[in-house]
Amino acid sequence: MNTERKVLLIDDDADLVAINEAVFAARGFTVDKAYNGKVGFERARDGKPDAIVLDVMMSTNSEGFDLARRLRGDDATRGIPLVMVTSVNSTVPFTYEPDGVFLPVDRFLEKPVPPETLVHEVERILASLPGTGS
Amino acid sequence: MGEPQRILVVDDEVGMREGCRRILAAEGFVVETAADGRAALEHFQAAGGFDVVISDLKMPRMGGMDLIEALHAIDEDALLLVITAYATIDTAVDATKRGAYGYIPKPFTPDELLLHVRNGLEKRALRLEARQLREERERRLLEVAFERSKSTTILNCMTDGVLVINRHGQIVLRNQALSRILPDGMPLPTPVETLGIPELSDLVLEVVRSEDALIASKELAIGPCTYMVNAAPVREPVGETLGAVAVLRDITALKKLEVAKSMFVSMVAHELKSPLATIESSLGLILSGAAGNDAERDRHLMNRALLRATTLRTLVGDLLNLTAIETGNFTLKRTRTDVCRVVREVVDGLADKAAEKGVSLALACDEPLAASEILADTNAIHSVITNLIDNAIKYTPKGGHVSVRVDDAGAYARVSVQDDGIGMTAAERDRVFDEFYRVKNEQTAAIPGTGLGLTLVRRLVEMHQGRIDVDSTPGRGSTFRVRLPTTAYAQGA
Ligand SMILES: Nc1ncnc2c1ncn2[C@@H]1O[C@H](COP(=O)(O)OP(=O)(O)OP(=O)(O)O)[C@@H](O)[C@H]1O
Ligand SMILES: [Mg+2]
Repeated sequence: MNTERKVLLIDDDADLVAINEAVFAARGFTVDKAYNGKVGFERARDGKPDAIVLDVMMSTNSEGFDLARRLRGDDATRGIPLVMVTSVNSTVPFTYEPDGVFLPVDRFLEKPVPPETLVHEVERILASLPGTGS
Repeated sequence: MGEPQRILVVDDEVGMREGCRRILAAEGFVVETAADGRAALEHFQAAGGFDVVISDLKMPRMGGMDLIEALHAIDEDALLLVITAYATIDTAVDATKRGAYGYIPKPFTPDELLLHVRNGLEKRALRLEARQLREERERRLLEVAFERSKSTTILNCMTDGVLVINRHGQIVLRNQALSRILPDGMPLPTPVETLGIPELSDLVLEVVRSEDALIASKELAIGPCTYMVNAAPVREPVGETLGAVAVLRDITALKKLEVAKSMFVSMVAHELKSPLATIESSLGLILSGAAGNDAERDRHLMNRALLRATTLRTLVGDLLNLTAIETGNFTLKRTRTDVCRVVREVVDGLADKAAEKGVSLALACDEPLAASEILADTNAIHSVITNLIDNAIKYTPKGGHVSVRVDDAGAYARVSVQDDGIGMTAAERDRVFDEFYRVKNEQTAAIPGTGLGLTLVRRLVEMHQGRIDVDSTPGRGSTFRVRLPTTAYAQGA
């Protein structure tokens, strides 16, 4: 397996990022962090992470969705696996379909997600990718 | 039979008057006499009427012809017989045309007189009966009309819409409220389906057709409003269904409240869930050793967990207070309170926190204030001031300044909390008093809070008939001002 795996964690809850960072780091990941969509996009484009973990709700209900769309629309970031974490279902009175059109993500997890589960999900997605290490 | 019947004999000839009186009195009638029309009229009025009036035509002062008219003006059913000589038979005919019941040609025998009188009395009895019937009918009609207009008025005063259909499913009655809900100028009766609301027509038709007295209820959305429809059969006492009545009650406001309530509950749940999840994960991570052992990192995580636990406890406290205020279970214990003293206590209490963060905290209290005494719940005012100063410290970076000032503002004691911290945009400022609202940006990301503090502050200030306002500029700082009515003002001095 590749040794240099890099994950980008984007969430406005700094504590959650710190916890996840600890677990990802313990599993050998290099961790990059961002606390809002704008910085998140820059980090994704410039830092070339192997996977991105993204929270749906940041300063607005849709900041995560908007960022996901933007990442998918940019050539530099389009191919990066995206795991979306949310508590939207339980807080905002709207639902969505986790389909590729409206929600262009690879995995969709409902908060709270135990950090270990998150790491497993990211590792599974990375393992399933064809031609690792390109 | 019953009371003796009363007869008035009018004639200017004494012989004629007395002759008639004798004949009639002998038959058991009560007879009175008058010498001319005017005297007869006065008599008639004073005695409250007679069953029959027998009158000569030619008399001084007022003759028989004028008497007919005058009597009928008093009592339209008054019965009058004229006595006349053959020579004036034309006049007699004329008199009957004018309303006299008949005429008795002179001379006449006692039997002839009695015959005429008896016929007249019979006629009079019939007339009275007819009048009674007429009056009765009119009274009943009036009653019905009154009852109907009464129930119509009541129906139209109702705020609920009322719809009545007959057993053929036709609308036979609707009140004004219903016409407002379902504007429809269709003349009645009209099939209920013409309303164009299948859910409503299905409901009432189901009730009409049901064998057992079915009472059906349903929520119905019409336009932007929601109605609760209750439909019940209208039955005859014996049990036959005549139709159905439906009452439409506007429950839109109730619905909105329900939605607002569940939104609130879901927001609270979310506010509780995220910090709890973070605390859980932090502790889980440290205890499981899944991420190895890094003493410094673990210490940081535990500190954060502690901070969030504290925030949670504050949140629950604020929630309890807010709920108490909303349900009216929060009673202010108002006593004479010195604003300056309370503010000084709060500033002293928060001095360490400010120092720790590297923010200066200064108090200016122009003592003695003309009116720094207010009638207030000391604890509530304490928590108002604490929230404001706590925010100022929280949202001001290291090296900043917070200054608190108490002064007079007319009828109010004014507390101003000013900081040179991160400030807010106008849009953010407009929402700071909303439940759970927190500004989210890079600067606030690491600052714990629930967004209930200012909500509570405003409620408490308003409960004291006070005012709160905010000035703020992004990057330059904010000023919160609270004005509380002084006792001098409250007592109307
Ligand atoms: N002095 C201030 N300067 C800048 N922003 C402020 C200030 N006071 C309040 N705010 C903004 O208003 C929001 C609401 O304040 P509020 O006191 O209601 O909640 P909070 O401080 O976030 O949480 P808590 O319920 O724990 O007080 C804050 O999150 C912050 O964004
Ligand atoms: Mg606050």
